[in-house]
Amino acid sequence: MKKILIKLLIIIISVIVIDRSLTYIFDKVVFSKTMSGETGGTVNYLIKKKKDKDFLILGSSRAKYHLDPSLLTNYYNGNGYNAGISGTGGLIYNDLLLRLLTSKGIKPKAIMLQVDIYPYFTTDDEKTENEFLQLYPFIGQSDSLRAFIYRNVDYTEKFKLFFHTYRYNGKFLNVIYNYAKRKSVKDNNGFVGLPAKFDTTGFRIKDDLAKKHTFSQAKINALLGIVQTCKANNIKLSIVFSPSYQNSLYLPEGNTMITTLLRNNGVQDIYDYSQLDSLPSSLQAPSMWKDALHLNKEGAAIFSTILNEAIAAHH
Amino acid sequence: MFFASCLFYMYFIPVYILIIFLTILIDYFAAIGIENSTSQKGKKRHLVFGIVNTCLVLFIFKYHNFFIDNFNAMGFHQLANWRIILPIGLSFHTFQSLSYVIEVYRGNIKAERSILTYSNFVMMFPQLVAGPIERANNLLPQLKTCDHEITYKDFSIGFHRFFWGLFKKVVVADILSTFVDATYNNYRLQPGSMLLAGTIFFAIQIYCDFSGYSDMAIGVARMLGFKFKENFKIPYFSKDITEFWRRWHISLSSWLRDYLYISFGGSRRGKILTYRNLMLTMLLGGFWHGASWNFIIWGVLNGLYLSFERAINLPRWRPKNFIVKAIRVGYVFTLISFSWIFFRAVTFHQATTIINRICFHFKASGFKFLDINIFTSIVAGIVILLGFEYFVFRKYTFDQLFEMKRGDKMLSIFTVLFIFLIIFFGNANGSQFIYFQF
Repeated sequence: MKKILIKLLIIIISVIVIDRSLTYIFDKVVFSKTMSGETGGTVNYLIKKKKDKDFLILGSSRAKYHLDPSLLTNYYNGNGYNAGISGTGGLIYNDLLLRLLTSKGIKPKAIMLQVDIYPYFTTDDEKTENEFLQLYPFIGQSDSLRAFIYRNVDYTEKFKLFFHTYRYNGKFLNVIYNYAKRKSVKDNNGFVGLPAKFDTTGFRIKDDLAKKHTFSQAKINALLGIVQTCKANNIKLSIVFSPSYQNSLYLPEGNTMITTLLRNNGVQDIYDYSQLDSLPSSLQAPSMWKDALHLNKEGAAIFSTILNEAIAAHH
Repeated sequence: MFFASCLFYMYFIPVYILIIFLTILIDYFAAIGIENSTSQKGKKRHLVFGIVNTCLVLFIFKYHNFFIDNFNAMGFHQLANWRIILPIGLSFHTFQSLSYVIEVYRGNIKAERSILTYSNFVMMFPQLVAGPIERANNLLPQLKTCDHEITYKDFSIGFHRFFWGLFKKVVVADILSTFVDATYNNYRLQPGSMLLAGTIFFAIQIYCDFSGYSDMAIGVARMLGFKFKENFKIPYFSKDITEFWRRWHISLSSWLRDYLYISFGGSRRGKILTYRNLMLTMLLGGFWHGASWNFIIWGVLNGLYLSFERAINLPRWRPKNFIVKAIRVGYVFTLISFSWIFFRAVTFHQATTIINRICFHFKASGFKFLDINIFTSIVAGIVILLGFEYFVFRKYTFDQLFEMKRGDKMLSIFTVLFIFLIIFFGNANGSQFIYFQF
């Protein structure tokens, strides 16, 4: 039995030592040098190269592909960076990202937060853990980020997080790839214009849109968390509801509820374009869209210009 | 051991522990009845009692709704389905109980008088939910030795084997499942090339999922000082289907051979009856997996393969040339992968649509990696798996590796390596074991 315990002890100590050393080396030598990709590279790029921007755009892919900071000239002279992220980019992710940025001393003058009601507010709470994963590599960089994640994950996830290398779980090869192409990353403002046009063959609005009437408390808390972080750091918060093709994501009662919630919490700068009919007819054509959820490059330019004019009118 | 097994089983649906207790009681008393009977007729009566009642439990929970659906489809009275959840591992522990009663009847083992020992045999937690289906003559004597010692060798071998199994499950099988699910769940929209890749990946996924579980079960048992029988012997390196079934899910295939195929008459009554016996055995083997026509077709297909090979006497032709060997391995993989389509598809229509799209709508240009990170992880996982299986486990067992000079140290180093591969590449939100549903 003694020999068994010694063997176990040696393996456990070896694993912990290798885990800590490997994470430290990988983080310093590889990960921190990545400047692109959604496994942390774009966040590194923002932290290292765009930290002095006047405003940041936060949101999902519908922020990343819709809002071109350079066209928002009436909003801090267009001196902004689009930190929207496709795939994840829900409110919990953005709440955590903002905590990370402020804890690192990155405090822009304004945040433009793109918000969608459906499906982001209406998906089940248990799926929200996926939104933490993208920021796992930054756990070691922010106490408030770490505290939030540990507070909101179950014991099995806490056990996995005991291993620091787990922060790169499922991201390892992507990080290596982004490291290899780090020198080819050109200066950018985070906005990506999508090519091509929407082939509407087979398109139909999801049947469950009308059925989704319950709202995730975790996501409402995340939205209020963003509001609080902005207030605490004297950051102006603006909200944008993006349009969708044939209103496929439009849920009026959700808009009313979230808008009221925001106004009650002191957020008055709200630009609601979730109803496509409120925009010029040119934006309603399939030629302005990449798919039902994303405008293409031309559509995004028109939408950004419209938003820019609205900002001027609002102020 | 008994309480640990009870807790393990009750983690799923606590009340289902009563079902397993029921089968234990049925076969415990049936075996004692067989042994106590003085006449052959009496022995047979107790055997039938054990088999019928154990199978009845299996029928009620697993097959009842299947028969109701088919009766309804044939236009009989519209009978309602029962809303019951299949107890996990039901098929495994009922087969284990059945083998015990049959062996007692055949006089190969003595009936166990201690109900606690017998309960431990049926319920032993490492193999309770997905096998291996242990035989009484192997496990019961080990359970009777109460003062058995956990040796350093047993613990080390079990420990290393557990992590090898975990690697197969969470790194290879669970990552493959993301690709397989993406293609099979949207089969109508996928070109044949994607569905073919999905089918090939499923063949590897199910192997890693199930053999990974077996490795973990055998590993945990070994850490506690128990030796289970092997359940897989790198089956995809087989050169004919007959050999494949000697290497795949060995505890089930040997069960089917010993208690069905041989009971039907085996190969002793001429060619035609041998083919019939093979077909029947594999059909029932398919039906054991699940109450669905797809599993029956899967079983029938494998019965056809085995009959065909027996007709042309393929297993007798042992290839010596590497190229011929590779062709034979390819032949086995192709036929087995084809049968997996029926195993993985949810409906018969889905299976035939997938076959149709692979054959007539292949469209190689429509192939996509889906997610380059996942696809690269899949390729890396398969390469590591194949490397270890071909160069290491094809030649040596864990016991042999441990006995080698510095073998223990090498195994420890590989275990640490596997732990990091699991952390880096493992699917953190992995799926349930495929065989848990049986």
